[in-house]
Amino acid sequence: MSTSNTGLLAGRAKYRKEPTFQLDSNGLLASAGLRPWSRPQKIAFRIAFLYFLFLCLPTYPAFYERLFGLRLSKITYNDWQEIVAFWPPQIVTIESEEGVFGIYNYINLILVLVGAIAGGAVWTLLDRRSTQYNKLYYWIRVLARYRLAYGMIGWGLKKAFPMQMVFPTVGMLNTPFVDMAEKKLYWSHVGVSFGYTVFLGFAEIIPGLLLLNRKTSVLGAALAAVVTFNICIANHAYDAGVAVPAAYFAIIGLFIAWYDLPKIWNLLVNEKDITPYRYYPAFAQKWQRWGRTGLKTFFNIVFVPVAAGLWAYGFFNGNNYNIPSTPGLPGTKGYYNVTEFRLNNKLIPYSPQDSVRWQDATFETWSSLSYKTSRGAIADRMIGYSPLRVKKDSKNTLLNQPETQTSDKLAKEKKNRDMGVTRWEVGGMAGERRYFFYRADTVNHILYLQNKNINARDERQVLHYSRPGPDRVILQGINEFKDSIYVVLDRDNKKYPLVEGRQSSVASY
Amino acid sequence: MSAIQTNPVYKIAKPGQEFGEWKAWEKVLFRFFFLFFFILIVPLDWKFYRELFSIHWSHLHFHELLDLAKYQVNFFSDDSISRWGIGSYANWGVAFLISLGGAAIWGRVDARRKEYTVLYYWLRVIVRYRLAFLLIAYGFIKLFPLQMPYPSLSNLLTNYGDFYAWKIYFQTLGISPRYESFLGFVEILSAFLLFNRRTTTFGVGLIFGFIGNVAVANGFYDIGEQVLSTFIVLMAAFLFVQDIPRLYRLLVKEKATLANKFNPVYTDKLLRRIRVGLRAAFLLFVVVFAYKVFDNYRNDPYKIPHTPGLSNSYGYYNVRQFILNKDTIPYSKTDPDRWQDVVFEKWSTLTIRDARPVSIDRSSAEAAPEKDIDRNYELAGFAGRHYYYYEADTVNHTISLQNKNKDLRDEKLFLTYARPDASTILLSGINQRKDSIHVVLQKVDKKYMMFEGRRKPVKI
Repeated sequence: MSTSNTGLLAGRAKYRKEPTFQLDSNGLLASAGLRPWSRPQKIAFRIAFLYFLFLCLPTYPAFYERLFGLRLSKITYNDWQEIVAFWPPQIVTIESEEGVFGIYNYINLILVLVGAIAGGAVWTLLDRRSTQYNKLYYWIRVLARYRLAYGMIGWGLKKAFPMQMVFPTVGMLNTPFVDMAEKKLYWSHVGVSFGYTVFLGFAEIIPGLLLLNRKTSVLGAALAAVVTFNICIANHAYDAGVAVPAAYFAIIGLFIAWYDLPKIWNLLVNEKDITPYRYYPAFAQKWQRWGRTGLKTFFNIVFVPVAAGLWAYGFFNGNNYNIPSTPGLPGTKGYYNVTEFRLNNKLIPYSPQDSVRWQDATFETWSSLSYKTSRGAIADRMIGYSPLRVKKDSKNTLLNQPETQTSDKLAKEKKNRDMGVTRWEVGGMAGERRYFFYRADTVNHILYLQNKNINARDERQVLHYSRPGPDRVILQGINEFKDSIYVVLDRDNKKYPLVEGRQSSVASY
Repeated sequence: MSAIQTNPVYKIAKPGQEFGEWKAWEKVLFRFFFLFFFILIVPLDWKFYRELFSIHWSHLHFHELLDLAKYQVNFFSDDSISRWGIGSYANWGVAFLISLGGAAIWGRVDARRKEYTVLYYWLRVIVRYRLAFLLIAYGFIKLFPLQMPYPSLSNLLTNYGDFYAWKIYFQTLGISPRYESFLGFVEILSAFLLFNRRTTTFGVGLIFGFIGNVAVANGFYDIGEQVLSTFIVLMAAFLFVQDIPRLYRLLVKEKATLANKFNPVYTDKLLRRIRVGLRAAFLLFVVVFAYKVFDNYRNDPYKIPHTPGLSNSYGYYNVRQFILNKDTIPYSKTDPDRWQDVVFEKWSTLTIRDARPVSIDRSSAEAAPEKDIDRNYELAGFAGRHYYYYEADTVNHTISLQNKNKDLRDEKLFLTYARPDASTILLSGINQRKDSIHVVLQKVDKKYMMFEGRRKPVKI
C-alpha cells in the first residue's frame, strides 16, 4: 500500500518527513555538492563560461566613453537605455539589409563562440586540477541574469510608456498600407493599440523582474527566452532590424534556464523525485554580505525604479522620441483637400498624376505639415529604431550610436529637437507624401518649413498662412523649388474606422 | 473499498493505491471546476450532433471540422447575446451558476469523500484533449496560411486609417505568411505536448507564451473571438495548477520534491479501449484535418474567391476619363459620382474608389461560404473602396457587377468592356443609378514601399 501526493494542488500534507540535508563548509549540499564533474562537463563549462562572459560585458570602448561622459544634470531615459541595451561584441560589421544588424550579424555570435572554444581549449590545458566549477558557474549566471534582466526591463519600459510604437499620425492614417515598409507596418500594428503596447511592455518587464531573484530566475529566463525568440522570428519576418539582439537575449535566457530545466524536466516528464541541487556560495565575512546586498540594491534601484522614472518623465514631458514636441498651429489638426492650387499664379486642376500640384495636406497636433503629389523621393528608411547603421566605419568607434536619438542630443544642446524626430512620421514611408517641420511666426502669420526626410533636408518653404474659417487654411509663398504657390486647403472632417473602432455607431465612412 | 470505486472509471488507479486526503477547499474547488469544465466541454447540446451528423464525409470541408472544434456550450442563441464585452460571456455565466449550485449539492451528497484524485485525472484528460483539438484546428489554418490570407491588391491600396484594428492585425500577419506558419507550428507543437500527459506543463508554457499573447490581442484589437481565446487560456491555466506547488517547492523553497505518483494503469479492457480510441481519434483528426486544410490551401483558399478574373486585367487603374450621361467629369476627390481609381483583382472582384461613403462589413468574415459573392474577407473591416463581384461574358465582352456588401446587394452595374491595348480598359454601360457611364482606365505601374523598401535605398 502506497501513498501519493496527488491532491488538487499536489497536496503538501504528504511531505510528512522533511528530508534533511547537510551543508558543508562551502555552503554546498552534501548530496549534490562536491561531486566531481565529468571531463566533458568541465570542457563544456569552460567554453560556456568564456562565451557568456564576452556576451554579457560591453566590449567596445564607445560604451565606456559614453558611460563616463554622462553628466548627471542632463540624464534622460535614453542614456539609461544605451547602458542596458549594449550589443554583443561586434567583431565584424557587414552591411546587409537594415544596416549592419542584418542576418550577417550572426557571424559575431559565432565568432565569439569560436573564440570561447579556443579559450576553453587553452584553459583545459592549463587547469588540470579543478574537479568542478560550481562557484564560477554561479557567478557567470549572476552576470548573465542581471545583464538580461536590466536589458528586458529597459526594452519593456519603452513599450510600457509607449514610445517605441505610437498611434498612427494623421499623415499615416491617410497613406495606403502598401506605401509603408514592412518594418513600419509591423511596428505600427502594435502602436495601433495603446493597451496592447503596454501589455507587450510588461511581457518584457515581468521576466526581467523575475530574473532579479535567483529563486524565480528560471521562470524569468524561460519567459524571456520565449518572448525574445518570438521577437527574433518576427524581426526576421518583417526585416525589423533587431533580430540579432533578440536572438542574443534568447541565448542568454536559455543559458540561465539551463541550470534548472533538466531538473524540471526530470521532475515533470520523467516523474523522478528531485533533491535540492542548487549551489550558493557562502558569504562568510560580514563585508561580503554587506557588499552583496549593497551592490544588488544599488543596481536594482538604478535600473528599475530610476529607469522607470526617467521613461515616465520623458513620456509625460514631451520627450517621446517618436513624437515631435513643438506644438502645431492650434486647431489645424486634420486632413485637408486642396480646393485650389496656383503655381506662379497659374491655376492647376487636381490630378492624381501631377508631380507638383498638391492632392491633399495634413496638419498634426505638433508642427508638421504633409502634402501628397505623385512625385517620389528617396525614402528615409530609418524607422523608429535602427541600431548600428555605421557606414564605412572600420574601427567600430561609432558602434552603439543608433542615431535614433538625435532628438535627445539636440534637446541637450538646447536646439529644437523635432528635426531629430523624423523617424515615425517619415521613416519607412513612400516619398509621395512629404513631411515638413515648420516654425510658425504667429505674429506675421508665416510658416518656415523644412523637409523632414533625411535625404531632402535642404528643401525649404516659406509660406504665409491665413484662416478665413475654422476649416480653411490658405497658404501662399515660395515652395521648395522657388516657385510661388497659392494653396487653399479645406478640412475634410472625416472619421476613421481605425479611430472609431468596430463597435462605434458610425457605420459608413 | 466503496462500491463506487468498482466503477470502471476508478480502475485507472493501481489496485489498492490510496491517496492522501484533500483539504476541504480543494474538494470544494474541484467539484465546482469539474462541473464547470464538464458543461463547457462535453457537448450536451443537440445542435453539436446535428452538425456532426450533417457533415458530408464524402466531400468533407475542413471548416465543418473547425466549427466542431470551436464548439462551446450555447444556452442562448447566437443572435441574442452581445458579441462584445462582458455580455459575450453570458453562456459562461449560466455554466457558472449551474456549477455553483451543482457543487453545493454534490458537496452535501458526497460529504464524506476524502479525495478526488481519480476524477481529477479524468478531468485533466478531458481538458487536455479539448484544448489539443482546438489548437490543432487553429494551428493548421495558420501553418497553411489560410486564417490570415495574403491581402488583395485593393486591401494593400487602402489607407491605414480605413481599417478596423482587427483588420490591421490580420493583414499585418497576412503579409508575412512564413511568420504565420511559424505561429501555427507552435500551436500544433503545444497540442502534441498536451496529447502526451507528462509534457502537459511544457505545452502550457508554450500556450501562455504564444497563444496567451493572441488572447490578449483578441481583446485589444476587437478580433471577435474573445470568448474562445479566454477559454484556451483558462484551460491552460487549469492544466498548470497541478504542477504549481511542485515547481514552487523545487524552485523557490528549494526542498526535496516528489514527482507525480499517480500513473494510470490500463489493465481494464474497457479503459484500454477508451484510451486507444481517444488517441486514435485525435491522431485521425490531425491527419484528416491537416490533409483537408492543405487541400483547401492548394486548391481553393476559403477566404479568397475562386473564379478567375478577366484575363490580364489584374492591376491598379487610374480613371483617366469619366463620362456621366455625356458630361465629362474631371478628376475629383469630392464628387460622389466620379470614380477615382479601380482595381481588378486576380479573381472576379472589381473595386472602385470614389467619394461616396462606404458602409463597412462589420463581420470577421470567419465563415467559409461556397459562393464567391459571399466570400467577404476582402471587404470585411475596410472602408475606402466599394467591392463588386462580377460575372464576365467573354464572348459579348460584358461584365455585370454586384456589390459584395450583403446589405447593398441590389447595387448592380452592367458594363461592356474593350481593351484597346494592354494597359487600357474601356468600360461603358449603366451604373447603380441607371445612369450611363463611360470610363477609361489606365493601368498604373508603380513601385511600392512594402515590396521595394526592404533592403536597399529606393526612390518611391
